[in-house]
Formats: sequence, structure tokens, C-alpha cells
Amino acid sequence: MIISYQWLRDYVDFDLTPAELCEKLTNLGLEAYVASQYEPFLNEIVIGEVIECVPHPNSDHLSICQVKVNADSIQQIVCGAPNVAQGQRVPVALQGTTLPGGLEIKPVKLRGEKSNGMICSERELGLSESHDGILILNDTAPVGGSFVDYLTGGDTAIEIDLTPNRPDAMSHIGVARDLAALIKQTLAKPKPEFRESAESTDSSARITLEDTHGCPRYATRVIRGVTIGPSPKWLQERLQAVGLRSINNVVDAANFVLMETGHPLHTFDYDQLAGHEIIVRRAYKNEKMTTLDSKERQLNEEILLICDGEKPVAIAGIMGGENSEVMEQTTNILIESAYFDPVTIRRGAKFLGLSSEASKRFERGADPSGVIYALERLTGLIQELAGGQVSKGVVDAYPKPISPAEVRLRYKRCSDLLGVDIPAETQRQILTDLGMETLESSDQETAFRIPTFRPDITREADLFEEILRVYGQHNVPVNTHFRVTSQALGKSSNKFRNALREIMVGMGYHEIMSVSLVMENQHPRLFGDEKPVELLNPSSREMTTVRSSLLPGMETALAYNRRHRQNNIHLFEVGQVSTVDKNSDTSARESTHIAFLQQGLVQEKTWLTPEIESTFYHLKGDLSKLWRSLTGDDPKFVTVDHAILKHCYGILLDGEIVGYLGELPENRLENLDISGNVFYAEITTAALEKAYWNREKSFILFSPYPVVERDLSLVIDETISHAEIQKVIEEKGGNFLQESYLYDLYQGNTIATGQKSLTFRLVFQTLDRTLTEREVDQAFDRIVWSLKTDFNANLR
Amino acid sequence: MSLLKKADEVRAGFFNTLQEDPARVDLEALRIEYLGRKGKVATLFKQMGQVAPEERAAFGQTLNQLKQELTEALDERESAAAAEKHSTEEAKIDLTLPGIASPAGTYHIITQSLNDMIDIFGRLGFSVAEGPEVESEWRNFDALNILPDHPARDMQDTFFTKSGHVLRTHTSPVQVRLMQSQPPPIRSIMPGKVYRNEAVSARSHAMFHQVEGLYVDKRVTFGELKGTLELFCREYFDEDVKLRFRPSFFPFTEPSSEVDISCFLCHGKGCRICKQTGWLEILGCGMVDPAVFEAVGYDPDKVTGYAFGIGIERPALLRYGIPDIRMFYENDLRFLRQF
Repeated sequence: MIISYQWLRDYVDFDLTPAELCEKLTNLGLEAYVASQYEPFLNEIVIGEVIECVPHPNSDHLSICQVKVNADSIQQIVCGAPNVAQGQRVPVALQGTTLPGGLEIKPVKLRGEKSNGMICSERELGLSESHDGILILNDTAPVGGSFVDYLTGGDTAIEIDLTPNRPDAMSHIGVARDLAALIKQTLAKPKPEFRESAESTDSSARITLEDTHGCPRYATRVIRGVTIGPSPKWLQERLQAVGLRSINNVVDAANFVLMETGHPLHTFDYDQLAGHEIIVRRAYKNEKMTTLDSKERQLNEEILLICDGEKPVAIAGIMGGENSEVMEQTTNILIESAYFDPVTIRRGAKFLGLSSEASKRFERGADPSGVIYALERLTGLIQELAGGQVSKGVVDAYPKPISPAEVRLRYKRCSDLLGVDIPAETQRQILTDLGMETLESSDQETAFRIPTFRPDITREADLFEEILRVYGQHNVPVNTHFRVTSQALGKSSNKFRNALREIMVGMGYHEIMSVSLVMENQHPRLFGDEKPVELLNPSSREMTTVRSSLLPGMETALAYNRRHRQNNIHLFEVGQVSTVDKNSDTSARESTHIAFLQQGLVQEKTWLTPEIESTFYHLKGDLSKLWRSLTGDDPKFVTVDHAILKHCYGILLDGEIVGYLGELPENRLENLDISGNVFYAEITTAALEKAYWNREKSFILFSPYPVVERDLSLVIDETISHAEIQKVIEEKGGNFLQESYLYDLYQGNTIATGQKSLTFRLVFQTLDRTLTEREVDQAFDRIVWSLKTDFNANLR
Repeated sequence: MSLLKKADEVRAGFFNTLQEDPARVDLEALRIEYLGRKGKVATLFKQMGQVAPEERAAFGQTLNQLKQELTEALDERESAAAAEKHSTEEAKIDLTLPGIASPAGTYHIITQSLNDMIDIFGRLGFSVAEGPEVESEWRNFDALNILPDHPARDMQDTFFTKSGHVLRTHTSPVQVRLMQSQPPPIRSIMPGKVYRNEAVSARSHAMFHQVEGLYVDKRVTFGELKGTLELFCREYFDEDVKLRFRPSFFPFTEPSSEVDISCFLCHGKGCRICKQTGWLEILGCGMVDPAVFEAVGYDPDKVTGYAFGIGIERPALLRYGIPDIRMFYENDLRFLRQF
């Protein structure tokens, strides 16, 4: 909303620059700033007078002008515009000014003649695209004066970003009221003045409210014999200052009163109203009407209409009808000043997709008690501007007057809540300055009658806010004596997720964050046959469904990076996923997942070390490391035939599969348009988190005696799995076997077909002494014997 | 031959050998030959008995001098040799070759920002509470005093699920869950993802992150809210940051404030980022509206509280000069590696 700085002065006396005014208003909760429609350079443009203009001797299109740019300075300027002439007042850019586009004005010679500035066109000033010639100003423009002042009439437009709870401030008087309370001035509301004729309004117009819910109050007067014509300059300037176009004196007057009081009004051509009556009712099903923007509107049964004896003439509170508009030939008018139900107007405006100055105010809440003042103010203004006879008295249909709210204020409670001791007298004064009336009062508390222009104030807390607004939030002292509660301690999932992230980052993975809304077909069913949560009103085809797995986001990130020539990729994501769950009160079950993937090299070649390509075993190793770090245990795997992942392992925790690791299949890679192997794991973290928090850490004594290492090389049938062999080693190794691990695996020339060679390192140790060769031999031989008998293995 | 002469010969023999081609002299062998237990110097000492008693002292002194002289000469030569050996080996090692690093990943910048905030508020005594992203309309709106047909519902366009629930438009429903599940006091922050049905552009996204805070207790004041946020902003943005509280409107707080901080790029002087105002609008806050307390079953006459909310993406965009909010979710490695 735009407020004019000068206009505001009509209602409150203040000595503030526009910037200071904005600061005050902002501190009051009316976020205000100077609407700088003009670029800063414009402030440097001055008004000049061309006192002499002669053709350039060396050019057929240039002129040499002597331009008076202030009382005692005349500058020579060479100008190429065809329309330049002696006697004109023109905008001049002088030395030092930089125009948009970077042209810096400095003294130059143009074909041998000095030029000390530039006379500007509208385009050069950034005002329009017009470049037919220089901009010629009115003869009254003051020479040497500021061009911006000429443009704005010395006024400054103040843009106010209003919060939706403040309909009362959607006007100059409303803003002035707040400001007056702050700077301790009185609000000066103009007194309506006009002469009534003998004819009563009663006999000229009849009002019928068929829907008193939608329209609690409707007041009117009739003015006969008006002369429609242009508005006077002062009115045009006022409207222009707030961004409204001047139409004619009657319409302009209504707009003026709207901007002044905030109360929307409408004027009808009285002679176009059948039966000279007004009926307020809801629209019929499939009813249509043409609004004054010449658009035919399809209505619904919730929309409130203003009708005459035959037809709708306006959509109540939103827009007038074309059929009853005040035109040039109009002589008699009926003024509508009404109060409409906010919800009705809001729904109507929403249904019609039509937002007007009127609907914006009605839907936030106009002032039912302000109806008459606005009506009288407009009546007076129309008579002043367009003449005419004003009907006697007001017809005021207001069957059930809206009573103002009464709210009790406990002074101590206010000070307690704000954390600053504001004297009762100050609190009371602030509220009365804002228009509230004191009812019963004591030292401790006062009951206030809340003016109807403040529909947002219904409770004590709302009064606290008013007091704080005017007292100043910046005046409340900062308090840093905090009280702490026991909840500050304890286990948070965020801490678990950070532990998890730390391990992943330490292993070289980059954390990603994907948009959790995905396409309909991006529901991989990684964890079974669950249904995804679908949106009713998606904003785009790419975001119709809440992700049920992290896979789509991981794939998107992978494909994106491959397209951008990144090859060795380690990514992980931790995030929430959702699936449909009828038993939940939101019909959705949410869980946290972690996913990670590898593609390309796990180690790039360096001058010292070879490159290492990612394999399933690298992913498995990382997963195992993650598991051990979080739970203290190795993960348990189970082979599964997964619908999506190939070469897939399920990860078991407490007997349940909590995640999968495997390789992305070719068809998915084709869809992503990428080549190579991609290894992927995704885990649902609830059980893992539980294991993390339940992990018991306790010291295990280690032996001070030396270890004995033995290598076990065997050739064995290739179908025997590592796990089977490892199991035998661990079982037969006995108490002395501390550790055993595979460190070589070979198949090839020196080994018979169908066989493989494995080498394990076995580490023996005990707590209380150095083991003897014999003890180690016995354990080693037990292992060998078992491998021979169970698997027909041969020692190498 | 007198013993003294023998001693001179031993000395001469030693130095002759030592002065041979240094590369070929075996210093260890030389040490054994002369200074070893059965070495030439030891042999001389053993002949001490042959010396006349009155000359013994002088002779012993001579021998000790000899021993010391040879030891020092050997030591000196050995350390010279060691230094030379070391420098030849050093010359072979090119320390300027590039290092071989272990792989290192990165935390997403949003995670880092969230963790920074969680850490700061943690030190101010706030616990972390979380809730689901698919929420009931009641918790997302009604319980927070955002009633149907209230213009405030226009302030945020909402995604609805087919089952009639919403993707939370703020993390405030977690406040509702918290208060419904336990009696006061509550001192928690609620980080998380939120959703708005907005067109995705460089400036706005349909998904972003928020941290909300809630403190409910007896006699919580607006002054404490100011204190909390001031300490937070000083720690999170800049030690010298200034805060500007100005009245605003949120349905779930009354009174409400918008908080501007002095621009951390120009320090309030005015720049492109703060649109020449010197201020950045960074968070919203206020005293919990009594209607919210009533909705969750708290008695607004017995407790008061404050709540605040801060976005993650916008301050991060400003702070790191990121030109486009979509970059947070594109997951370009060239972006991720920078933070």
C-alpha cells in the first residue's frame, strides 16, 4: 500500500524526513520504506531553460544551446534532438552525472563546439522507451530546480507492507492514528461538510438486506444534479501520489475517501437502478454479471450481490457492475457505504480470482462504525467537486449493530510478559491514544472498549501487543539470565545422525540433500510393497509424490554429476522418507534412511600408488566400518533376491532386514544415461539408532605377551565360500586364535580349474604367557584337518 | 723401543689409515683395531708394568691423551660420514612431490548450518525436537491459531496429500506435538524440512529448512526472547551484529516481531545484498499466543512462552554469496566440495 508523505500531513503534524517517518512507522509495526521508483542518478538531474538555440555550423542536425541551469550559470550544450527550441524548460544532466548504461557526462567538444552537459530524452532518464526527442517540461518548472521534485510534486511515496491483521491501517487516517499515538500528537480527522436538500433519502432509495450475515450494514444517500467532469489538480495529484489514475470527479472522490479513511465506497448511477432500490442477496446458481472492467463473471451461490429491483448491479465489496457505472452523462448518483462480512468477501474474491482495493479491505475487516463517516465525507466531497443536491438524512440499514469488544488489561501482567516495568498510566495512555475507551478502571486493571476499526483486538494479549508497539520493542531491555530445563540433556536423533555422517564423511563420501518431492514413477519399492504419499495439488510434474526412498535423489545427483564430467563419485544422504500408513493420524509413516553409493575409482592413481576401482567389496567394507563404528558389531548379511538391486545383500539387525546393499541394474543405469558399475546401499535407521544408543562400551583386557602369526595357504574347490572357510577357522582355532583374515585370493594358471587358492593370516595369543610353538601347531593342525575333511582342501 | 715411541707409532699408524681415501676406510674396524678391548691402545696400557714407577704417571697421562685423541678423531670422522651419508640420501628424496591424501568427504552446507544452530542453542539450554513432514491440518494450522478462512492461510500456499493432510509449511507443528506430550517447562528447538507450494526459482523453492524455537515456563518474558536471539545472532552471524526488533504479525504469537540483523556483508553501511538498508530480515518471533496454549491444553494464565523461527537457506545464500537457491539441492560435487 502506498501512502503519500504530504497527504499524511493533513491528519497529523510531524517534523520527520521521509526516511525518519519510515523508521517510526516500521517500529510501530507498519513496515515502511521510501518507494524509490526513480534511480538515484535522477536526483542529479536539474531543470534548465534553453535561452538560445542556434544550428551547429558543422552539422545539419545538431544545435548549439545556451542553457540556464541556475540563477547564475549558463552552460553551452550541443543537442541532437530535432525538437529542441529556445524557451523550453528541459531536464539537464550536468558534468559528473552518470546516466543508466554508464554514460558519464563530462565536458566534450562535438564537431569543434564545446558541450558541457546533456539535455535528456525520456529514455535517457529511464522513464520510458520514448526517444523521439528531448523531454519538454511545463513552462512553470523552476529553472535550477530538482527534476525529481518536478516529477513527484515534492511528495514522497511511502510503501507500507501491511500485515494481514491491520485493516485499520490501510488508509492515511489509519497510519496517522498510529503515528499520532507514537509522537504524541492529535489526530485531525476532517469534518464532513455539505448542504442537504429537502428531499429525504428515505423517499429516494429503499434498502433491503436479504442477507444480514453477509451484509450487516448498508447506508446510502442520493445526490441529484451532479456534473461529472475532471477532478481538480489537487485531487488528481493526491491520487497520482498513491498510484491511482484520475477518472472523473465522482469516482476520484470515492477513491480519495477510500485512501483517506480506508473505507471502500461505491457510487451508482441512480437512474440505472431499477426501482431506485438496493437489495443485498447471495447470487443464484449459474448467475452471471458483467463487472465494470467489462468482464463477464460467472458467480457462485456464496457470492454476495448488490442488486436493484431487477438485476445485480455490483459484486458486494469486490467490484461494481458495468450496468450502473457512473459515466459522463450521469446526473444522479447513489452512494453506497456498507460493511460486508470478511469471510464472504474473501471467499468471493478468491473464487472470482479478483482482488480490488475494496475487497482487500473488506476481507481483512472494514469498520462497521466507520460507514457513516465515510459516507458523509464522500457526500461532502462530491457536492464540493460536482455540485448537486444531497438528499436529507441517511438510510442506514443496520438491523443488528455490531457491539465493540471489551477487553480487560492487567497492568502487571503486561509488564511481566514484556519483561519491563511499564507504568499503568503509560499503558493506559497508549491505548487511549490508539482509540480505545476506558470503562471500569482500578490500579491493577482497566477494561477497555475496543473501537470497531480494530477487529484484531479481542483479548488481553492483543492489548499487550498494542502497548509494546507504541512503547517500542527496541526499548525493552535485553535479558540474558536464562533458566535451563532438564530436557537440554538426553539423546537426540540428530546426534546419532551426526555420528553417522561423521563416519561417512571420514570415508570420503560427500553428503547430498535432495528435494524430497519426486515424480510419480520414482517410487522404487526398495523396502517392499508400500505405497508412496501422493500430493493432491502438486506444483509441477517433477514433484508429485513424497519420496519413499532416497534412491531417486541419489540417482538424480549421480546422473547430474556424471553429466558434468565428474567421474569418481561417493555420495551419501540422510533424510526422511514417507509411505502410506492407514493407522497413522496423518496417513503416513515416516522414517529416516541413510543411503550411499560409489561409482568409478575409490582411489585415483597417483605418482606413487595405483588406481583402485570401486567394487561391491568396497561398499561392503564401508558399510561394515559404519556398522562397527555405530554399534560395535559387524553387520550380519543375508543373500536376497531383490526386485531392484542386483548382487544384493540384506542387512540383518535383531532378525529383521533393515537395509540392502548391491549394485544398480542395467535398466536403471540406462534410464540415467550412465555407464559403469554403481554400488548402492540404503538402510532404514530406526533399529540402527537403537543399537547405537544401546551400545555398551567396556574395557577388554589385552595380552602383554607377543603374538604368533601363521599363514594358512590352501587350495580349495571354488564353490566353497569364504564365509564357510572362515567359520571353520574360527571354530577350530580355539581360544588362542585372536584374529584371522583373508589376505590373498588367487585363481589362474598355477591352480587347477575349478579350484582357488586362499591365504589367511592367523594370529595367536593368550593373556597370561607366551604361547609355545607346540600350542600354536596344535590349533593350526586342527584347522587344517577340518578344512581337509570338510572341504577337501589342500595345503599349499 | 721405548713405550713412548711405541705410542707415537700407534698414533702415526692410526692417522695414516684415517687419512686414506675416506670412502674406503672402515671406521668401525679402525675403532676395534685401535680402541677395542684388545686394540693397540689397550695393549700399550697393558705394558704399563714395564715402566719405571716414577715415570708411570706421566706415561699413563700420555696414553690417556692418546686414547682421547683417537676417540675424538674417530667420532668426528664418523659424524662427518653420517652427515654425508644422510645428505646423499636426502638428495635422493624429492620432498616437493605431491602428497598422497586419504579420501575426505564433506558435510552438506545445510547440515553444517543446522548443526551450527543446534550447537549454539544447545549451549543456551535448548534440546532438539523433531516431527514428521506430513502433518495434520490441525497441527499445522488450527492449533497454531491459523483458522480456516483466516487471511493468514493465504500467507503460505500449502501442499496437500491425497489423504487430506498437509506437508508442513513450518516446523511449528512440532511445538504442538511437544506441548501435547508433556507439561511445561519446554525449552526446545525444532529443525527440519518444510514445504510451500511455490514455483521453484533462483530465489524460492518448494522445499527448504527451518529452525524453530520454543520456550514455555512460568513468567517467560519478551526481554528473554530478545536476549536469547541476540546471543544466538552474535554467535551465528557476527560478533558485532546488531538486532532490530519491529512489530509484526503471526497468528501463533502475540506480540510478534520481525527481527532484522545489521547486514553482515556491509556491517550496516548499505550494500546490494541488504538493498542499501543496512538490515537483513532474518527471523520471526514473538510471545506464544494464548490460543495456542489453549489448543494444546496449557493454561495461558499460568505459563507464558516465546517462539521463534529462522530459515536456513536464505542466510546461507547471503553469507556464502550463493546465487541460486536451487544449487543447494542440485548436489553438484563442485558445489559440495566448496563447503
